[in-house]
Amino acid sequence: MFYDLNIPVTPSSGSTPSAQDQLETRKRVELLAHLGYQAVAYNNEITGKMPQNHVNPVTKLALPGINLKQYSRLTLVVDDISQNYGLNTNNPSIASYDILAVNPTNEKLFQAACGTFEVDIISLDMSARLPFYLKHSTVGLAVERGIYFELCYGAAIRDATARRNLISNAQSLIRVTRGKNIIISSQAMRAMELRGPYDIVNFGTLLGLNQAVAKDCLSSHCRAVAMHAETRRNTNRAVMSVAPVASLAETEQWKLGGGTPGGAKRKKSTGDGEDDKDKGANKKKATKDQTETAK
Amino acid sequence: MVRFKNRYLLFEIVYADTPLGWTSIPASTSLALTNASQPGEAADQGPFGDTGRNNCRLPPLANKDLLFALKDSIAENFGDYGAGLTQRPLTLKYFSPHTNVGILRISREEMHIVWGALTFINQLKGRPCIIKVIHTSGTIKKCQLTTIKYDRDRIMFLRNQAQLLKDNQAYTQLGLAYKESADEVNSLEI
Repeated sequence: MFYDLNIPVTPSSGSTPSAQDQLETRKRVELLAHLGYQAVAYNNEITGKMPQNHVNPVTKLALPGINLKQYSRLTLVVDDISQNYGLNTNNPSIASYDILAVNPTNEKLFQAACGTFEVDIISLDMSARLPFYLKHSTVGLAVERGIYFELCYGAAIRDATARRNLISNAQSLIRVTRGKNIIISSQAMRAMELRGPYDIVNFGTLLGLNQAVAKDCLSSHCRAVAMHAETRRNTNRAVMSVAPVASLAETEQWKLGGGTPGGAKRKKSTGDGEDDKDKGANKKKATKDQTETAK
Repeated sequence: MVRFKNRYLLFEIVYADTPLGWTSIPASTSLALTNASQPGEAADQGPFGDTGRNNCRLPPLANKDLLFALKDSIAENFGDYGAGLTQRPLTLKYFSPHTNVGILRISREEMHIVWGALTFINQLKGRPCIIKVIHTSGTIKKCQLTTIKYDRDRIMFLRNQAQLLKDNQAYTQLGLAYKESADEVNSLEI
């Protein structure tokens, strides 16, 4: 299952995308489906402070007959530490996006992002020389917290200098993270800057990643990001999430009822099998604790 | 041992302004419909007539055009060294201008370099395009079989879309194309 977690849909003017933007997005999404991707994230980029009444401009397209999951993502380009204060999940405009990414522009912010910010992805602009060195210790903090670093290949397709910078920056990132916690995505402004997933896996091997790891960077690491985002949004310290009784499906109504002494044990054994089918019950968090439904 | 090992890369060229998939399908497919509703996007409307497979208005791409573009890309991205390493036995074994699918023969050691150069190709004969590698194999027989399977999967997908859009003409024409696809590939002499 291949993911492309960076399709920029920042509206070119105003706060809602124009018809031209929407056509471009549609072309990119249909081409991604043709090339073999199964999930995509629409990325809105904001520089500086989050505006107060921010409206999420991402609209998920209706794609009959095409099997493609769609996420919405926000990338905050931060240059000042004070902009961090809006960056928690309680902020409703941030909560309207599925995935949260941050783009730190100096060393202090990079350190803060790796150590303390509540984000899913740290995205650095790889097409220009990085303004700071990537240090093993700082990057290690992010790896421990389950935050992923992003490599965008779109700029390399557009421009030759960007290609050189990408290769050089990617090499240092791979050296420092030892291949872990990296995702690759397109940042394609137009449809013709996209490439097929296996082509990007091959490009990853040219950068120095192992072929299996390169494939993971496009698939299982991206899935981990989506899971991390969901845990961040929906759960309370990654242990417990609360879902209203009304969201239980027909086949799950037994969870409410009566409570026999042996009931708890039975629940545990069937609980793990039903993982991916239950959107409402929110059981798929990374712990063995049971979810409690609000009574 | 001393045996020389090859790799055969099966690739497809996806152009910017044709409905995704098959170049000779008539104008009434999903993407063309989407684009037809946007005024001023003339280049995106199906650029072919509706008399079937051979009336493809795209300029047919000769084998040597593709090979020159590939060699240029290798020279640009990997330099003289890369160009020298990959020169033998870089040949284009099969290319169909209808379906824009081709098979390329390269040496096993330098497969990643040639594949990388293919990925960076931006345009062919002035038209923006993407080259997508579908399959790699050590023998050409397997590549042929995969070509047939890929064509069929694509036709089935387009047929599904035509059915969803209730487009009967495209539906029947795609049915004919389905029957012809295997014949064309098998009749190649390689």
